[in-house]
Amino acid sequence: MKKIQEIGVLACLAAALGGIAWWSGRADTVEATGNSFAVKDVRVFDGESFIERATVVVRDGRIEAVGADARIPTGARVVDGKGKTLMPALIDAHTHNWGDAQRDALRFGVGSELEMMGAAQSLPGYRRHREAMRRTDEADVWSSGAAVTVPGGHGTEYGFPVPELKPGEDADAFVRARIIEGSDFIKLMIDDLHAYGGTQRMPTLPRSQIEASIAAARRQQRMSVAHVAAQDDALHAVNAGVDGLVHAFVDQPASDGMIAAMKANDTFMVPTLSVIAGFGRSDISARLAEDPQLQARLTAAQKASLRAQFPPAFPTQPKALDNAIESVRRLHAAGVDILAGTDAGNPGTAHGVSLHGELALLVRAGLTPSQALRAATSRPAARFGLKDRGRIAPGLRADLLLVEGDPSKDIQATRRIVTVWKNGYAQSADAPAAGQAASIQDADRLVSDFDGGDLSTRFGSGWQAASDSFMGGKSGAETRWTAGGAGKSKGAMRIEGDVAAGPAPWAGAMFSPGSGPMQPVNLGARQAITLKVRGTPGDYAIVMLHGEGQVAAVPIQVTGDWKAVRVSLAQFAGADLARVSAIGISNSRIGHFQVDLDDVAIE
Amino acid sequence: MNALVLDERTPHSVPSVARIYWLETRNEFLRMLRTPMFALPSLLFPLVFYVMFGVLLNRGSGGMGSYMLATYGVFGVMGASMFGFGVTVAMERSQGLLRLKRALPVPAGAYVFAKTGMAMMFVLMISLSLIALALLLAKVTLTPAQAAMLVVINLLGTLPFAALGLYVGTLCGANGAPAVLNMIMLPMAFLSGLWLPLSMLPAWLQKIAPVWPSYHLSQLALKVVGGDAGQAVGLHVAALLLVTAVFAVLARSRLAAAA
Repeated sequence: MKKIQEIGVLACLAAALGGIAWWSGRADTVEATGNSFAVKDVRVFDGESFIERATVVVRDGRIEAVGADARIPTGARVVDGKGKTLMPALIDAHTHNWGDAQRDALRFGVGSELEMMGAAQSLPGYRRHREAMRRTDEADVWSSGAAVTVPGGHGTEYGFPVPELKPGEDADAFVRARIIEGSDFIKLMIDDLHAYGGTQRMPTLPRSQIEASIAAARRQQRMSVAHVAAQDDALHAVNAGVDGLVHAFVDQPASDGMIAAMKANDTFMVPTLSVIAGFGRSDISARLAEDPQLQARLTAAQKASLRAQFPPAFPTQPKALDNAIESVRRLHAAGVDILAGTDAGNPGTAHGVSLHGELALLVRAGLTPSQALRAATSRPAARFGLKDRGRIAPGLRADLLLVEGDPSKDIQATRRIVTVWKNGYAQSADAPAAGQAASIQDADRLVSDFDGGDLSTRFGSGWQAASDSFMGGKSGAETRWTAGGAGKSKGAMRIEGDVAAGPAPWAGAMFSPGSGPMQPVNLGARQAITLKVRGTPGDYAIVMLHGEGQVAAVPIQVTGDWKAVRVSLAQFAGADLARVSAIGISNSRIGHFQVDLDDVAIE
Repeated sequence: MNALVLDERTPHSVPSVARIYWLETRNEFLRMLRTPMFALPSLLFPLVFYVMFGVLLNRGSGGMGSYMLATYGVFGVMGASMFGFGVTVAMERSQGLLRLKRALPVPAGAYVFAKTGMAMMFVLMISLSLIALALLLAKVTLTPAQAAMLVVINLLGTLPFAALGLYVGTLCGANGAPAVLNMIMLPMAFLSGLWLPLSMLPAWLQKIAPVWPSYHLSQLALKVVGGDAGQAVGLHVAALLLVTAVFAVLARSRLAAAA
């Protein structure tokens, strides 16, 4: 063979192998990595509308193709979607995040959360997390960071220091400081409690500062959103140009003037019906905790949080939910943008799971299932500028939720979760198991008879005066031994203090039954708390701290004479009796009080 | 008389063709096994690399253990085949041994057959050792059928690389051959994803990976353990057959010209 022929043969071989490489590339194959797959023959909700039967192809964490004839690359992992519905991972447009929030959210198919006030130091972490495409078991978060509020106003009562806009201060500088901290949008706290109909009041932003803050946010190219509880405050904020109301107002249904103003300003509303249901102490959230479709993914902490109620001192507004639902009905009918949000982080809500409850509430308020799903996917993404999510379309991030059944017919189908994908990676399904708390000794029943001349207890880690002061409130109390107890016994415990007005005022005393203060114990085998009590006459509450720090309370009547009280543990509705960290007595009436306890026992 | 005696002896003195092939193969294998310069790197490199990357540096990923079982098996095939052919042919050519063999009454095919058999013996040893390491150290789960398939793929995979080695052996001198073979083998192994998964390479390198014969063999092996890119078996087999045929033909014509 001549040299030239040999080179020719080699060149042909090179060309052939090159052709194979070219053809392989063209043949549309995927490496079987964790974030590439296809779901075929599935009903698709693409963020806007339903497609009865389609195939969705995901490559390297992004959606590559959607459609009835989308071609599945050779070698792709294929998920059979028959009888199921694939939708974008949900977006919760009102949350407060700490602890396991993002994990809980994602396990329930909520891929993104919009935090409406939170710790500013979390903001850089949120940003890094949502910009990455790596495998994660947490939802992404956009956050307002610190809110615009006044000293003593809403947002200051949670026991951590927050920046405050003081009277006469420059709203522009305050807003700029938030943006420098990394706030994605600006949240205003507009609530003096007058919406709840009581006499209780709380400081709030004056209207001039509201207008200045909204204008400052606009000048600095940030959205502004407002916490409101009353329609008059809401109307003012809307007319001042706020981009959205992140609660429905609870005092009355939306008026015609309100509807017109929101339409004219293109203002959206995140009604947060889930948390508002709790203002009337409804059991809607507690029922979510019982839903068999949700059990496998619920943690004990989530269940406890769903069953938790606002403390007795928190203003009650029995018509709150009815008013809010009627507002949503009217606003939606008029074409105002409604977004799904839960206010998760508050009593009666839990991250992730509550958004499924919110969808059902929105349907109850007149949205079709398809509109409710839009309110939890494409609408919040469009309003908050989340460019790579909220829809199933080529190029978008593969944050996806696969459910059994057809949510266009039954919105509760979203609860039948099959698989959740984040950044194209499938998530594991089951809730992590909570640690088991220790039981107390069988003999440990009597806590204190106060006959020894002091406040000592037979077990646990003692009595402590407690009040709203640890959450920033102004109330206070003291405990001391006093001679002459119930039934001529030697002594009792006297709790004396003052309850000062605030968002959730209370004062009293707590006993920790665990080996260390606030160490949870399992009271599952016990029946009741018994005690003898006398004091300043009025309503008090026997309270229990349980689960991850939720509060349950049972009201009792106290008179000036000694009276034996027995509170069955079953009366603490929704309490996680397997993890009780404290029991105690609390008073929420404003003013001075004195109450004596004797012969306290856990039977 | 004499003629008669001769006639009687002839059938006994000429060994059977099968025996010639067997003896040539056995001796070639023993000779190479006793050549540390060849035997040690061929046998040990795949095993040492597998222990390093598949076991020691592998932080708890079960998939990596089986991925690398497949790819280091292919790496072993490349080493044993390319060096087993390339270097020995180059040496035998320059020492004149090849010409001597031609002069001997040995069937022409026995020379290539023996070398192929030798290479396959080495490949068999490498494959079995790797499977043992994977099962014992990397805790890879492998069915007997999967293990057998891997061995078969590696044994047949000897052919294209033997042909490539043979061709290089006809091109280079005894001193140049090891260098040239290394220059071909090492980059090709890396670019085919044999040392590190292809997904860790830049996208354009991933795209051109199918130009390398070793890519196609590794994809066949990866199909057995479930880590391949999902291309058709036929595509890989066709690429490997083409490589085998082209280099075999080229090498044959060069050897014929050299004689």
